[in-house]
Amino acid sequence: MAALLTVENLSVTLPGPEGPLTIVDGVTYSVEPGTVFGVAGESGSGKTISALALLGLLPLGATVEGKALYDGRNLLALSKRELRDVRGREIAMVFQDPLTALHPMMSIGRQLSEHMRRHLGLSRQAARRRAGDLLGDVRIPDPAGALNAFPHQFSGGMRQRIAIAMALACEPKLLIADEPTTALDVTVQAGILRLLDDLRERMGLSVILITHDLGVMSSIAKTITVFYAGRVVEYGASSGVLRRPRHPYTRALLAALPHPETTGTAPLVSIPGSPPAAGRFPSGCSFHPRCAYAIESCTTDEPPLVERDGRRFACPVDPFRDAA
Amino acid sequence: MSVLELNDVEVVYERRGREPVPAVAGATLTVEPGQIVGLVGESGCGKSTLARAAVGLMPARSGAIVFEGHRVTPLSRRARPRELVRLQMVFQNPFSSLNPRRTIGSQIADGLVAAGGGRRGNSEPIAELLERVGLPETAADRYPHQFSGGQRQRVAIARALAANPSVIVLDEPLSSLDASAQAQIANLLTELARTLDLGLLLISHDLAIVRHTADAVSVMYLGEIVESGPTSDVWETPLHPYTEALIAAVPHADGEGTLPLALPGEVPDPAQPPPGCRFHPRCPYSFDRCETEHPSLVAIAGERRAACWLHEAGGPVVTPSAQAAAI
Repeated sequence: MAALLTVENLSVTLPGPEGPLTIVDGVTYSVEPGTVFGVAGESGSGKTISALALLGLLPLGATVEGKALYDGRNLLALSKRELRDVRGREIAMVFQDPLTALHPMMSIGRQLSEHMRRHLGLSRQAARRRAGDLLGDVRIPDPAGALNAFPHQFSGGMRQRIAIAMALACEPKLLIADEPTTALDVTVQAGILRLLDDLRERMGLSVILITHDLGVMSSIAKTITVFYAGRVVEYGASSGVLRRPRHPYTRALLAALPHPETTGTAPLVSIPGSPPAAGRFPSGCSFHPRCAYAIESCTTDEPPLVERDGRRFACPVDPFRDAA
Repeated sequence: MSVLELNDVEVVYERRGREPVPAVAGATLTVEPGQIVGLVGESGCGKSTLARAAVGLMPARSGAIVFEGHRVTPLSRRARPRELVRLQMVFQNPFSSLNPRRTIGSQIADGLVAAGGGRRGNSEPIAELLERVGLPETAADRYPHQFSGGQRQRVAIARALAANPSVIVLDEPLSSLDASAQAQIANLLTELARTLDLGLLLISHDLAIVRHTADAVSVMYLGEIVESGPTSDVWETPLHPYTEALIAAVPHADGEGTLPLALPGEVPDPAQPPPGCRFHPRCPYSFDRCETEHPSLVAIAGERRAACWLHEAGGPVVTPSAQAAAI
C-alpha cells in the first residue's frame, strides 16, 4: 500500500545557550493509510519535536532538514500559507492536556465551528449542525446541550473527546496525537483508545500516536518506532517489537515495566543512569553509556538502522538475535 | 500492632455558599511496620485527600487517625507535635517540593533537625542518607536544578528518611517520572520498606506499579474504600465490580493488540453521591438493592474485604461476574 506520509532523514536543531542543539537526528519512517503508527520513547527523545516539525509548529530559530512527503508534497518545503491549509484540514493534532488546547472562555460550539467555517466554507448553521454531529461521533452525551457549555464543565476525559472532535472537524486524513491519554485515568484512557481505533476503522483515519506508555502502544498501534536521543533505534510491527525486541534499549524499556501477570516479588529491572538531556547526546550509539551489551565500537561509531528479519534496528551487536 | 491506623475517616471540604463536598466519606485502613500499602482509584476519588489527612495536613471531620498510639491532629500555627515527626510525606512533584534556592544537603538537614538528631554542619548523616537513596555524597552541595526528575524524587525521599520515620505517606511519587526512573524509585521504596522496617502508604493511579510493589491494596471509589486485601489476591480475584473494571482497563505491553475495556459513565459529583451503592450507576451487575441500600466494607474471607451486595460477609471468594451469574 502506498504510504500516506513518508518522513526521510528528518533532523531538527534548536538554538541553545551554548550553540545549536540537535534534538532530532536523521529520522526516517512511513505511515500507512488507515493505521495507527506509534512513536515511543522517554522524555527528551525528540518524539514530540519530530511531530511538531511536520506541521511547522517549531519554536523560533529552529532549523529543519530532510523530507516529509505527504500526498506528493514535501511538508517541510511548504510556505506558511500553504502549510496553514494543510494544518487542521489535512493533518490535525491533539495534545496531552486538553484543558490548554481548549479556549476556556469560548463555548464548545463556537470553538468547534470556527475552523470549519474557515476551512470548509460552511455557513454558521451548517457548521453548528456538524459540530453537534461530531460531538456525537466522539460519544459526548447530549451533544446539543454540550455546544453551549464551556470546557470547565467537562471532565478530563470528556475534554479530550472534545479536543479530538475539534481535530476531526475538517475530516483530516492524519491525526497526530501527542500523549493523548497520559493525563487521564486508565478507565478513561481505555475509552479514548477505543474511540481512536473506532475512528480509524469507520473513517479510515491514520493516527500518529506519540506515547511513552508501551501498554497503550501495544493495544492500538500496528507499527511502532522507538526513539532514543533523537534517533530511531527500532522500527517494525508492534507485535514483533514488543514480543521480541532486538535493540537493547527497547528490551530494557520493556523489562522496566511492572508486568501485571508476574508475582510482584522480584525487583523491576531498571535501566541504569538517566536518558541524556536533549541536544547533549553521547558519541557513537547514544545508548552506549547505559547499555549492558556495548562493545568498544559503540562508543565511537554511530550505528546505522539496518533491516534484518523484517525489523529495522540500530545495533550492530544484536545480542538478541537468537532470543525466541 | 499497626503503626498507622485510619478508622472511619471523613474529610469534608467546606465551600462558601454551596453544599460541602465530602471528599472522603468514611475510610478505614492500616499500615503495619515494613508493609507497603497501595491506595488506588480514579482521580477525584479522594485518595490524595485521605493521604493529606493521614499526615495531618487536612483536618478530618470525624473518625480517628492514630500514629504510633498518638492521635494525628491537623497542623496548627505552632510546630508539629514531636510524636508525629516519624510520620513523613513525599509529594508527587519533586520539582515543586524541593526549594530551588537551597542546597540538597541543607534541605536534608531540615529533617535531621526536626527529628532532634543532627546539628547543622554535620555532614556525616547526610552522606549516609544520600548513599541510602543511591546518590553520590557530592550531591549535598548541589542544587535541585542540577538533578533529573528521578534524582530529585530520591532527594525528597532522603529528606523524609532524615527524620528517622516509621511511616512515609507517598502521594503519586512515580507519576511524574519516566519509565526507567519509575522502576528505579519503585525498587528503592521496596528496599527501604524491607531494610528499615518502614511502613509505606503508596497512593497511585498506576495499578501496575501498585500491583508490583504493594503488599496490600485498598481500592477507593468516590470517597469510600470499596475493596481491600493482599495485592496478589485482589489482582487475581477482584471482589468488587469497580476493582474488576479497573484491572480490565490496564493496557498490557505484550504486543497482542488487545484493546483495554472501558468503564462506561463518569465519576459522579462527590457533593451529590448516588443513593445506595455509590458505584451502582456504572456497575454492570447492579440490582434493586444496590439503588437504595448502602453496602459497607465487610470481611469476606481472611484479609479480604469488599463493600458490594453481591458478596456477603464470609461468602465465597469469586469475581463479581461469576457471583452475578450464580445469583
